Amino acid sequence: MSLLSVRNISVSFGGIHALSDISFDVPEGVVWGLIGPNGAGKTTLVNILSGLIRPTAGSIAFDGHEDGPWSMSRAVEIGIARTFQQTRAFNGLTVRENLRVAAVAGAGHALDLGIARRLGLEDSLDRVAGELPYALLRRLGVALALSLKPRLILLDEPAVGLTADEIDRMGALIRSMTADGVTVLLIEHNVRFLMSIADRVSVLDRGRLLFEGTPAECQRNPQVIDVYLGRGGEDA
Amino acid sequence: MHGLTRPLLVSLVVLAAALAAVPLLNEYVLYVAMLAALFAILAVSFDVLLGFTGYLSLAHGALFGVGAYCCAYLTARAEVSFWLALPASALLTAVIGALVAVLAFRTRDLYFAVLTLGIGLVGHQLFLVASGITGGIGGFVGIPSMPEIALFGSPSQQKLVVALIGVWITYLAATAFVRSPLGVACQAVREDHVLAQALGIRIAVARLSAFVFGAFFAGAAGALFATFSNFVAPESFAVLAAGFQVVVLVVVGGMGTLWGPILGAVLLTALPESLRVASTYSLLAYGALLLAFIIFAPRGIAGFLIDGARRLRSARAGREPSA
Amino acid sequence: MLELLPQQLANGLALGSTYALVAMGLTLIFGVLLIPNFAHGELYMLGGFLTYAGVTAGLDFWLAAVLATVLVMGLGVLVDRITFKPLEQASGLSLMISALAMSIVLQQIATITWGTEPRTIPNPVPGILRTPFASLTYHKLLIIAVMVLGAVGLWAILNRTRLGLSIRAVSQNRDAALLMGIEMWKVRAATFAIGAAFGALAGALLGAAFPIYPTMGVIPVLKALVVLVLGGIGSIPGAILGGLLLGVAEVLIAGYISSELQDIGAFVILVAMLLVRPQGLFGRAQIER
Repeated sequence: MSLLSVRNISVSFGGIHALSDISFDVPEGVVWGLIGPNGAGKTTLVNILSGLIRPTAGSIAFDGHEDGPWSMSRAVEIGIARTFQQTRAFNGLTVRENLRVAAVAGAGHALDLGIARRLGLEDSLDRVAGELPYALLRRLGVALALSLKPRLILLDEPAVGLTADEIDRMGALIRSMTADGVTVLLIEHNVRFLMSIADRVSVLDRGRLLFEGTPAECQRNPQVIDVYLGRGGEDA
Repeated sequence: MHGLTRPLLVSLVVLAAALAAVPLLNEYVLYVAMLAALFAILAVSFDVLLGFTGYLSLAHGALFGVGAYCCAYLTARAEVSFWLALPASALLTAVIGALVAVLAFRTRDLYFAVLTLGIGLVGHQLFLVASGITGGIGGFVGIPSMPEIALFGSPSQQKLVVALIGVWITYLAATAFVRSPLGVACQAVREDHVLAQALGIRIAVARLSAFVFGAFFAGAAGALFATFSNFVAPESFAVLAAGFQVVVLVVVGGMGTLWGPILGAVLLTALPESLRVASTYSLLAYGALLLAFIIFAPRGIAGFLIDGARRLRSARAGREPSA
Repeated sequence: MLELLPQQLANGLALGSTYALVAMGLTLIFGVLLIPNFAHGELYMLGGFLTYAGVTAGLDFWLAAVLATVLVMGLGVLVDRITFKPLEQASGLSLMISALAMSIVLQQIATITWGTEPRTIPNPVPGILRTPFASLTYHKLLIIAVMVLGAVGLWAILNRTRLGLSIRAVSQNRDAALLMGIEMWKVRAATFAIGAAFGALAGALLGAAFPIYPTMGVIPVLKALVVLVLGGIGSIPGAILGGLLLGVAEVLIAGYISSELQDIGAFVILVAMLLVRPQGLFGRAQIER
């Protein structure tokens, strides 16, 4: 029985099909990778799963809830959290206040500073988010999503712009999430990073699902190599 | 959440000091202080929306008017006791505020300001037109005074005491509100409403409650204003009068703190009155002050005080280890 | 009733032309620089008052109107320097508060200079043009003509000059425009000067038929913002069409429903528009609600 089940999702913006007929099933406890060239529709898919935009057609089921697609607050309520490609945090508030907003106003439980510790933010609690260095800001974005205590977390390119050390750290963090029972849907541009931590991979190209399988199978698939890896893949 | 004990104790001390000063004041100062207190209630209630939720409403003056006319009508025509009319006016204003909010929150940013400006103008127009209830341009005459409180002082002293207690209640209620999950949600809406939604915050509920909170206390301030002055006229509630004035009080005092607007109301009401500046120049001064503060000191007087206190504390902390 | 329709349409177009004039300036500044210039209504007011001052000083109306427009153009640039330039990095909320403050300051300066008593300028073009369908005063025809000329002139500046190209580039993508070496201060100054010119012209022309007083800019700027809702932010054709639409709608409301409703007609249209099509306003409606 899968945790997340996406059925025939399509969406178009002004006549252009951003996603057509996407279906896949994510079992509980895995890191599911999603790759594809720019404009393939990866972020659109995350936006749909998190309720930010509504698909034109299709259905989503999650953890026994069959009523998807849903609104953003409903998505959080049933246990789906997300991060943003361009990290969003409450820039005028301190790190502590940011985490409190997510915990108290978002998820409705008390502030848990354990998350800050886990993400190495414990020394920056009283710094204003807008003044954080880039790497810390990205971790704050992940911390906000984790504060919701989700069952599924959608990470939209968490490694972008990070140094090699920071990427390793992010990878370890993502693996530790699954150990805690959080399922991860990971969008990445950095193919090597993704292949190193994903259990299974889907490849999107121009709004269509091109391939689904293990990272090893993915790297051998001629179609994938042709449309994606062949174009110079991980240079971004 | 953080305990409310500290703000409760501090505000009690300030209230006690203010109350202790009441017997020392002459009639004129009592009057000015009473006005300042009413504007403080208005400013604190407005800051919950402007400073904590990030929405500029220009309809707050009209809501102040709704409370005033409601109390005037209830006490003068329906002969309801003032102590009943006061909460009734606040409640009615909150209900009307909710209707306004449902409409206005279909928009945000510039359009929110424009829509509330329109609502403020229409509200003022209605006060003029509905002369059967409001007395029209001639104003509402003969509003009964607050019943005397037998225990102490002259009527003017009693008015000020009631107004000061009103400020205290408003301040405490606002403090409790902004620290509640709803209030925290409001601050999330102010900072980034998309992220707020992504974190599961129901932003519609949050900002609606901020608006209704503001309307309730604006209505209460209006009711006090009506009964204290025995007369109200539409000019007091125009967008360019109370509607604009609260923006100035909050920005100059310090947006996003709850004591800043009180400070702003006291300083900006007391100063022109004590200097006896002509009203034309006082509106010009208000405009110039607002411009200067939003450009050079957007955190208001409260910002200066907070920074000053922090510097003092760090200077002291720097000295202590050697001592 | 129906035989009055051509006349009412003509009146509505004349009224709508004044809204379009005010709205074009406002939408240009908002569209290019994302600045909500509430003080635009005060530039309109000062266009009226400065023309009045020129006429009282013995100048010919046309000369006074041109001088007033030039002065207000300079003032528009000054308003930007004082009110908005220092807040380049600040939030939209700060810009709105700042604009509101400047608007009050200009109103009060006018009050101190000229008092609150309404002033009038003798109509420079008396008389009425009569046609079989409708009659229009020459004054209303003048307003329609100036609106059309202004629109053509603005189109020519934006599409046929280097400056216009820079302005359009900034409105499309400010960062890219800066990278291409466009000098932002020139674009800002030009945008504010042109925008102010439209406000001032409207004020000067309207002042020749209606009273001039310090708060006369509040309602036109509110209506111009309604026009922006109708026509789409930053769109010049939208401002013209929206302005004309609003003018005609108001005259029809006054003619066929109730003249008392004319003044709040614009507001009712705004509310109705927001209720029916809130997504028409900022395009990303799915994020709101």
